[in-house]
Amino acid sequence: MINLIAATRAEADPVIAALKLKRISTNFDLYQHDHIQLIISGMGKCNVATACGWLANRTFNEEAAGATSVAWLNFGIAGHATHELGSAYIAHKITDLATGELWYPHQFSNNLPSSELTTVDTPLLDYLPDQLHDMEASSFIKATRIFSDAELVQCIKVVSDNRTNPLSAVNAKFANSLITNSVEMIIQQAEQLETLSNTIPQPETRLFNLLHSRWHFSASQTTQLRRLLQRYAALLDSAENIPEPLQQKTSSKDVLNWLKGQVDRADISL
Amino acid sequence: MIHTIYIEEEIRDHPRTLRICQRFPNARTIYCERYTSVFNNNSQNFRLQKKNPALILAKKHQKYVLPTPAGYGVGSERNFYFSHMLNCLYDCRYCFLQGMYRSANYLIFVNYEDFFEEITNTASASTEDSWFFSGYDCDSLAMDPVTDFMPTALEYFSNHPKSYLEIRTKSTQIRSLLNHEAMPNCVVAFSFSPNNTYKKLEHGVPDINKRIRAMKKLQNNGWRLGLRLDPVIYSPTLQADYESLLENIFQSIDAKLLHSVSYGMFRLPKPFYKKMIRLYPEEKLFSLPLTEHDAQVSFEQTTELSSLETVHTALLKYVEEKIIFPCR
Ligand code: SF4
Repeated sequence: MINLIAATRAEADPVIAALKLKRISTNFDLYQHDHIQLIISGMGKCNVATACGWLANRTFNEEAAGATSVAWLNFGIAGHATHELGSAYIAHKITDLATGELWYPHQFSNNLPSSELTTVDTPLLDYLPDQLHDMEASSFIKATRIFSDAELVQCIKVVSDNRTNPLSAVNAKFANSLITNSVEMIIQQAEQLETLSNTIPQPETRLFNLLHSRWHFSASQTTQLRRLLQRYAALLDSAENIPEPLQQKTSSKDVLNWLKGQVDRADISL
Repeated sequence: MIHTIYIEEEIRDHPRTLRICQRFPNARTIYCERYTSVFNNNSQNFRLQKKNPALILAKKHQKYVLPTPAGYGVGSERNFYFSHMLNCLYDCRYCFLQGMYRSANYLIFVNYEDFFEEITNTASASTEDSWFFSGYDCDSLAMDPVTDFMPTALEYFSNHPKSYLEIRTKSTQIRSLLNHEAMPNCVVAFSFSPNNTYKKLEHGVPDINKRIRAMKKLQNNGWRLGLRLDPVIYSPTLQADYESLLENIFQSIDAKLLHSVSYGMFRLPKPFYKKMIRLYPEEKLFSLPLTEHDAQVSFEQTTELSSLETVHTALLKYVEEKIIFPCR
């Protein structure tokens, strides 16, 4: 699954349209299609942190999305002293100007130009040398790295203003057109991130749920059950249904004993 | 192929930094204050990074040389290890580096001279010979074309005959050794597993026969060789597997010239083992019936003892008991 985060509707709209996302929540501006979710957070660090926390809760909640591995991509516009308007960069270093905290998002390739990115609380009077400026990235990366592996969290920014084209001239229409021009690249990056996230092995859930709902397992037995099912899948089989001999078992202890017997007796050649 | 190089500000103009960067003209370079910002952060995932590791060039500031864990040596009392590099080009599924680090990026400390200074200090603390093991946190030779560490190391050790160097490797990158005169105080130790373990678990490692050919070239050039059979992983066909491996090796290598052979059972500290299960839950090795003993996770003791005895017996067909060292 991939979660996309944009600060404003103007930035989000081109991606929503290209991916044919449908609005699914009114608590937040949340859009979805299949395994892609997009949230419009609002501008600034506080808004993005709240949106990421809310979306993470929803994403990992089994009644909602029930995902176990999630990639996150923040996209939007940013300023830079000298870079050309419309040029796009993946962030390779993100600094929070107010706190001095910094992060280095893992780079998987050098296909896309990259840049340092500094997150500011309020727009600066002048640009810092050789870095992009935005108002969300540091908060986004800090919040999402709590929920996902660092490699699955990335930021892409499109240059909207520079020393010759000031921030005061940037309006919603212009932001929208900049993202529209980069929409293919943003989607491509999102797909690559999601593919990467899908390489993380998912724990066996179907058989676990079947067994867990039929017998009563204590907390420590539940931990044993998960590990035994994982070993069972690695050594013997990824069973979809309750194996026949287990149907007769009358207690959770018997279930665990049977599974342990199976994995301990399995062929142990590699 | 390296696509990203992180460089600590402090060593951005170090001659080795500049030389290494020249090898990768298309790589993106990113400067950082300390390598710890990009290596081993809490939320990093070794398995994801291993798909495309970056290179980190840094300066080490302390603890250049450390005593080896007990049972690591090959006959000497004073055993130390040093790591001018962390992480490895290869991807052996049993490798403890996956449990030790969260990052799979290759980290090279470019201040080699500081390592040698501490090696000098460590060795001079005793009149006895001291052994220094390279290849504890990396493969000693696999990245040598990039690090260019060996020529400097060989130069140093050739001037310090009471200090012994073990170069432990699964690589065939032996050019820097062949370019240097063989040294009595240096042992090039090659690690092997039987063919089926190699095929299933030693991803990216050069073919067994290529490594034997590299050994033979070195032996022909007068280099002292070591043979390392660690980790031994139990298999129902263990005896035949090791007999066949050893037959293959000793068809080419003169056993009488061998410096030492060591072997040890597959074992991992429990926290590493747990981390590795999380990274590779589908891996059969981590689902085998392993048990915890002597603060390590390994095969149960009877399996361990019989496996090690089998390997030991197979070795005795070729080498004398006195050069065989079991690792615990
Ligand atoms: S060659 Fe050695 S250091 Fe490299 S991955 Fe294999 S076991 Fe680990």
